[in-house]
Amino acid sequence: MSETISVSSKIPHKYLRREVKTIFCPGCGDGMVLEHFIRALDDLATAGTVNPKKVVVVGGIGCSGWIPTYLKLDALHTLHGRAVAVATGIKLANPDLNVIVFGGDGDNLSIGGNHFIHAARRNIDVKVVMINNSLYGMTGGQVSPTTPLKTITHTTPYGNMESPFDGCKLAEAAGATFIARWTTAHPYQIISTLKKMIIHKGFSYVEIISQCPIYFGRYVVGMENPSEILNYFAKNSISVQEARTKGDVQGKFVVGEFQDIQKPTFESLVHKEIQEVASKR
Amino acid sequence: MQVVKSTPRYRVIIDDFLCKGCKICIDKCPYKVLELSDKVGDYGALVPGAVHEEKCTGCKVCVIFCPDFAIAIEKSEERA
Repeated sequence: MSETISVSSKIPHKYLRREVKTIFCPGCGDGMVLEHFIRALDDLATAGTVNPKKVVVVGGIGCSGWIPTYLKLDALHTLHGRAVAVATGIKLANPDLNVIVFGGDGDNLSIGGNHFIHAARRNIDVKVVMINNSLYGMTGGQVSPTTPLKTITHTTPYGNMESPFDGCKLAEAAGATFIARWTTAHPYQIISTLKKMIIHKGFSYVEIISQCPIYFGRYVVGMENPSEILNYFAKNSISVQEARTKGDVQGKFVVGEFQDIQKPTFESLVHKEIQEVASKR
Repeated sequence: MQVVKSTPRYRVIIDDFLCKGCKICIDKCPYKVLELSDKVGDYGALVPGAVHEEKCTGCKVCVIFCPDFAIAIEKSEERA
């Protein structure tokens, strides 16, 4: 990587609300994603590419839905699964804003799956950061659409029988233009990808596989120590290029940037049409 | 022979108010600067302490991995 990433300890506190205390459990990946997002945004803000006053962060329900509420930016805490729907409204009403959605696997692929695929289909300029902890962490470790097969959770005591969703493949099939996936064991890569995502025009989807030390760690992987789970992620990660040549990726996390293309965005088409129709009158 | 500790090049500051005691920093530090201390933080967990501060090279891996913004690394003024 040729670009440099500033790791000053003072940066996060510039963007956090005063005397912030997050609700996240000790060692939760959500706090790490919050920090990486702040660093990515600050790098772009100091370079003059992005104005933080024009950034809106939207969150749904769930642990990861709390991420926007700690930021000193325009933030919205919306209904469960409706974060992408609210973001669509914000972007259509004011296309100058940079709208970023934070949500979990339950928020974006389960209850909000409908909004998610249709926002991707329209290619509206909304960025979705999905923090995937493979189960419903806030409510007590129930099975979610991304729980791996045969996993024992609180609602699947004899093993999960449902095949999990691959969020990146789903986003690609639905028409998203920027798709990437990392795990929390790759902080520098996350920052660099989030920077690309913030600048990108079009529906962007960044999935971050995160540790839930309390439920996923203790009950599923059998590791209570968050750093052990991070090492497990790092060991079981495989890059996209390697995965394409190898073929067999059973039980591995495929990480990297999957797609980065340009397509006309929904809000630009809508506003163009509004102008055309208005000029004919 | 008496081992003389060199003056630390960096100061490792851990915020007791924000630290939740997840111990990620202790494991991630490549030079094993941090160790669990017997100090109790605001969350009621034992917070890490910079035991071998002289080994710190200022790589800030702990800062980037900390989920709670609790670690700050500053350049030591005596050496500068």
